Amino acid sequence: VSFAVAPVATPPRARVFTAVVIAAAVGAAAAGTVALAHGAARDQTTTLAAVTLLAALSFVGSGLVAWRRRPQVWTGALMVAAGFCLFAGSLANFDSAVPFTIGLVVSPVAAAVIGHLVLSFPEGRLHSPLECVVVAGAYVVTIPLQVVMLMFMGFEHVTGCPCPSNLLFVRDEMAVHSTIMTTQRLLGIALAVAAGAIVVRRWQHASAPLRRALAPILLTGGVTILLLLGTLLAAQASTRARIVEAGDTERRRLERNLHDGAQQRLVSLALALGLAESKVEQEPTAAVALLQSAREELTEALGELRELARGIHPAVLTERGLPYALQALAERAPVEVELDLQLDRRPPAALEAAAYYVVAEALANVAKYAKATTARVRVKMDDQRLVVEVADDGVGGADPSGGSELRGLDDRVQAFGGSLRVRSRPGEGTRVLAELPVQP
Amino acid sequence: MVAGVGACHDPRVPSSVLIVDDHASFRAMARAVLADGGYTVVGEAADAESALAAVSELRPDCVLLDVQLGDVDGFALADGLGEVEDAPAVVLTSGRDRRDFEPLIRASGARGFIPKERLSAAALGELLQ
Repeated sequence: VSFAVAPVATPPRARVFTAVVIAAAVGAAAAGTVALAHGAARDQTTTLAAVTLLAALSFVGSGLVAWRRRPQVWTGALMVAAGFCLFAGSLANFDSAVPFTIGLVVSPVAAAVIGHLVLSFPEGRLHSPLECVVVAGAYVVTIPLQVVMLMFMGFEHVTGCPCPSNLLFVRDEMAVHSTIMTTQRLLGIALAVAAGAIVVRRWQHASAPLRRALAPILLTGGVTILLLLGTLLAAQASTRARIVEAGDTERRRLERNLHDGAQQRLVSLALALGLAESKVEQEPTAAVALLQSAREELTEALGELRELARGIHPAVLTERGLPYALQALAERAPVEVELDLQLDRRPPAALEAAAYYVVAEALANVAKYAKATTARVRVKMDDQRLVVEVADDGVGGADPSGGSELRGLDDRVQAFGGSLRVRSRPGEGTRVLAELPVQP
Repeated sequence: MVAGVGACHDPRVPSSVLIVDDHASFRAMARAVLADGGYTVVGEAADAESALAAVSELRPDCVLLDVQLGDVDGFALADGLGEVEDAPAVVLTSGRDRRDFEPLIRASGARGFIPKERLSAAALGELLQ
């Protein structure tokens, strides 16, 4: 096998086609760069997004060269296709529904096309029924499964969003989209392993010239797989890091509150008592005034300590359960709270605490920002999930991705494998919806 | 760095103090306690910048300085105060545990450390002798 097939004179039609493809690739790269420069890359690092754009350009470029040299072989065409699928990934960074949706649908196809490319190299056709199954499987996972998944996936709770509309969206079904995502992941891993095994076998049986021909394409495939794995691992690591960080931030906040609150009051109290002691004989009136202020400081300090203790863990929750604890929360809230609890048994303790904090944090946000008059809290549990919803009739317009409070809640909910969604259009109030899976 | 030789040697002789702390409630109580013990509290400051300005303007004999002014490091400010002309004696204070700061207290040019709740004219006088 060799590349030394000299091209016959290129017909003008092919030349026009080549020019169009090059123009499209350069345009896509430029648009991708603009999208990157304008907004952060959604759910991936800017460096990775930039590397992807470069990889896409090089796929299109080398694909065109291969295509011109051997137009009867599919390899070149597949490389160009892989390049454009990679470009499509950056479309998801645009703030407009059409490119966003195209990006979501097309970007995973790159992995399937690259798999197809690697397995069909160098003749441009697949060598065995097994290879056909693997490639067909890859296309099924990345195209129809992806489309169905997107139909049932709400994007409000996705990292990196608010996003433009997903035009395929029908309704939000967490069970459906999470099942499909898991299936995609498992099938993807199985197919990648199968493809890897096929390639290793072929390498073992290959002659020296075939190995030389295979080397560059295997390298490309390997690097792509490593990049994909790297992205997946980085995303997982960042969630874990955020959970640890959230714990640290919480402890720091507690220390600060203790130090600035109760501790300062007790310091003042100690100084006031000392002063009163020194004045009690000569200036009894002043001493009494000091004692009075000392008692006030003490009352304040006790109140602050109680608030803090409840913030660490509400004792009523452990002792009396969610309905009672939520009742107490509702009564303390500055707005009228309507409670609708449908619990036929007590949820596991950790889940109960998570639900409590979702309601507590959401109601605190209602008090702070919403300018609402009433809030509605709904908690419902069936065999699969615990659903917590807090909706208010306030001004809305909360940024679902911003705000450390919402982020902290999101991390807490995600730690349970659940999802948190916030809908807060200006003028329509805010609705926070958490779904927590119930482990059997 | 060596803290300046302040004039507040003897608590019975009125000497001037600047209180630097970001908590207003502590500044007020410290002022009352020290004034009651014969010190003249010439001013209060809540942050590093106004502390340095107050020192050069009011020329206090000593500065009672919280080691943490919000997010500003009080030890760094203590170093800064030691470098001004006719530097005041610096006495550090904090509501946190002294043991957390021990090496920093030793390394600073301050006269010493008084836990906030133990502040008194006598305690300050002892360190300034």
